[in-house]
Amino acid sequence: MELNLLLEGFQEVLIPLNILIVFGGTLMGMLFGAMPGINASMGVALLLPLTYGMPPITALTMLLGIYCGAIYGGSITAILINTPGTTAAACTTFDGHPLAAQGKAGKAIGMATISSFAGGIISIIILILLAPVLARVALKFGPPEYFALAVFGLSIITSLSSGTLVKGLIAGFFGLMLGTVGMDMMNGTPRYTFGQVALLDGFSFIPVLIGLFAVSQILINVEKLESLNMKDSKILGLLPTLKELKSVVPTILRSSLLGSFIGILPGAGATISSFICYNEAKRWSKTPEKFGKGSLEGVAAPEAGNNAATGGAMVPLLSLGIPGSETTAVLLGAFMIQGISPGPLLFRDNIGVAYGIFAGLILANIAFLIIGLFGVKGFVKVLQIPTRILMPLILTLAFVGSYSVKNNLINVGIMLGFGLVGYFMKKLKFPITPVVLALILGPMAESNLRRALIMSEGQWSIFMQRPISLVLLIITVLSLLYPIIRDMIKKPDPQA
Amino acid sequence: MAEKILTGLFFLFGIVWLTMSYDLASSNFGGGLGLGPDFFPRLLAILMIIFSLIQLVRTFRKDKKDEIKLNVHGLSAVIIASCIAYLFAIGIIGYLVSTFLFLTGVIYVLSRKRSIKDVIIALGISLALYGIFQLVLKVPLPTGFLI
Repeated sequence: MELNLLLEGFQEVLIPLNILIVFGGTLMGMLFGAMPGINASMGVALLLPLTYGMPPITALTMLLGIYCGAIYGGSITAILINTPGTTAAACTTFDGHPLAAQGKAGKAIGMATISSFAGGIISIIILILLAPVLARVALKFGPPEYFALAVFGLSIITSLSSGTLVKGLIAGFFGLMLGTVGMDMMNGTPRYTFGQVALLDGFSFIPVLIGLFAVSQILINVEKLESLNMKDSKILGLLPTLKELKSVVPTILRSSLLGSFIGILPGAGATISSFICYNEAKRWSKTPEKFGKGSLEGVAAPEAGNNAATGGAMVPLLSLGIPGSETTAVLLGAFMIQGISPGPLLFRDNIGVAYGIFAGLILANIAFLIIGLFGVKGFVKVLQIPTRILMPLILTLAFVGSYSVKNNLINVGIMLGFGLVGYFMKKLKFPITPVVLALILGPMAESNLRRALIMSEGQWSIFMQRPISLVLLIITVLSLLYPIIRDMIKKPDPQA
Repeated sequence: MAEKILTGLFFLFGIVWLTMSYDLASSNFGGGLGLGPDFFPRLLAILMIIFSLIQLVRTFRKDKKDEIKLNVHGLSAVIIASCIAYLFAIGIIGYLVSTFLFLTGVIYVLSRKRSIKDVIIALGISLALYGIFQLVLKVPLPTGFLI
C-alpha cells in the first residue's frame, strides 16, 4: 500500500499558504457552484489565471478546491431557493427544498454537506486504489491503443451529449479540425495558421474554453436575468442529529460507491450520477413514500453521488490522460499549463505530483465540510450579489483571463470569437462539450493514428489485431449506434 | 433558417479545410504511405462534409413548426457589441479605464437605472482586478494613452 506516498503528498500540500489557498479556492468554487447559471467548468476556467504564477502543487490544489467546492455548492441553492446551482444538484431540489419549506433548511444543508464530504472521500479512496493500477496497465499501451482510447472517449461524450447524434458528431469534428491548427507535431509543417505567428502553437485552450463555456453562457444568462437573482432566504433549523445520520449511512455508502464508478465512465459525470443514486435510494428505502416530500435520504443520495463522481472522474484523467467530462477537460488544460501531463507516465516519473493531487482533493473536501457546517449562513449572504453585477464581472474575468495566458490581446479576440460560436451553437442545439474534448484529444488521436499506421505500413487492420484497441473500438461503435437503434425500436415519435 | 445557415457554415468549413489540406506539402515522414501532415485534416474534413450534409438534408426535411428559431435577445446583442468595443478600447485607452467604462456601461444596460452605487461598484471591481493582476500577479496589463 502506498500509504507513505500519500503521507508525503500531504507533507507537500500541508503548508500554511496551500491550506489558505485551498480554502479560498473551495469557497470560490462553492460560490460559482451555488450561483445559478454558472457551473464548475466555468469556475475552473475563469479562476485559472489566478494560478499561473503559483507553484504547481499549490495551483492544482486550488483548482481541485474550486472543482469539488462547485459540485457541492450547487446543493445550497437547490435546497434554499429550489433552483439548482449546477445541473448536478437538480435532484437535490426534490427533497431538499421541501425540507427548507418545512423550516428544516439547516438540517437539509447539513445533510447535503456531510453526504457530499463522505461521497468525495470514498471516491478519493477508490481513486487512490485504482488509478495507479490502471496507469500501470496503460504503460503497455502503444499508439493503436491510445488512438482507440481517444476515439472511445470522444464517441461516448458525443453520444451522451444533448442534441442529436449527428449534431454531436459535427461538433466533435469541428473541435478535431480546430486541433489541427498549428505546427504539425511530427514534422513541424505549419497548418491552417493563415500566416499568423500567434497560431503556430495552435489555439490556446484557455481562451477557447472560456469563450465556449463562460462567455456563451453569460450571453444566454442575460436573456433571463430576473430568474437568476438570488432571493433573500434565511437558514432555519439545526443540523441533522446523530440518529438521523446513522439512518442514512447505507444510502451514503451505496451512493458513494455507485457515484465513483459512474464518474469513471467517460461522459457520465456528476449529473447522471446524482439521478441514478436518487432512484436507487428510493428503490432501496424502507420509506420510499417520503421521497419528494422532504426525505433526508433523498438529500443524502444525490449529494453523495455527485461528489463521488468528482473522484471517479479523476481516475481516467490521471491514469490515462483522458478527460471524461467538461470540467475534467478544463482541469486537463490547467494541468498542462502547469507543465504536468496526466497519464501513465505521471505515475512512473512524477509520483509525488500524483499523490499531491490526491492529498489536495482530500483537503478540498475537508475545506467544504468545514465551510458548509460552520460558515454557511455567511456564505448565503455573499450569494446575494445581484446578477446585473455578477454577469459583467464574469465577462471582465474572461477578458483578463484570456489576456494573461500569453499577455496579448489576440487571445482575447479568440475568446470572444469562440464565445459567439458557442452562443450560436447552444441556441441552435449543437452540443459544446464535444468541441472542447475534441480540441484537447485531437492531437493525441492524430499522432497515435499516424504512428500506428506507420507501424503497420498503412494497414488499418492493426486496430483489429490488438485486443485492447479492438474492444475499445467495438464499444465506440456500439455507443454511436445505440441512439440510432434505440430510435428504431421506439415507436416513431410525432415530436421528433 | 438559422440552423441551416450554421450547418451550412460547418459544411463550408469542411470544404475550406479539405482544399487547404492539398497545400500542405507531404514530407518524407510517412509521406510514402500518405500519412503526412495533410492526412489527418483531410480525413476530418471529409467526415465533416459528409455529416454536415446529412444534417442539412435533415433540417430541410423538417417541418416548419419544428424548426429551431434563433431569437437573439436585444440584451445579448448589446453585450456582444460592448465586448467588441471593450476589446478595442483596452488597446487604445488602456486596461483600467476601459474596464471601468465597460463595467459601468454593462451594469447600466442590465439594470436600466442610473445609480451612483453601481458606478462605485464598477470602479471598485476595476481597481481590484487591476490590483490583483498588475500588482500581485505581475501581469503587464495593456496601456493606451491612459492606463
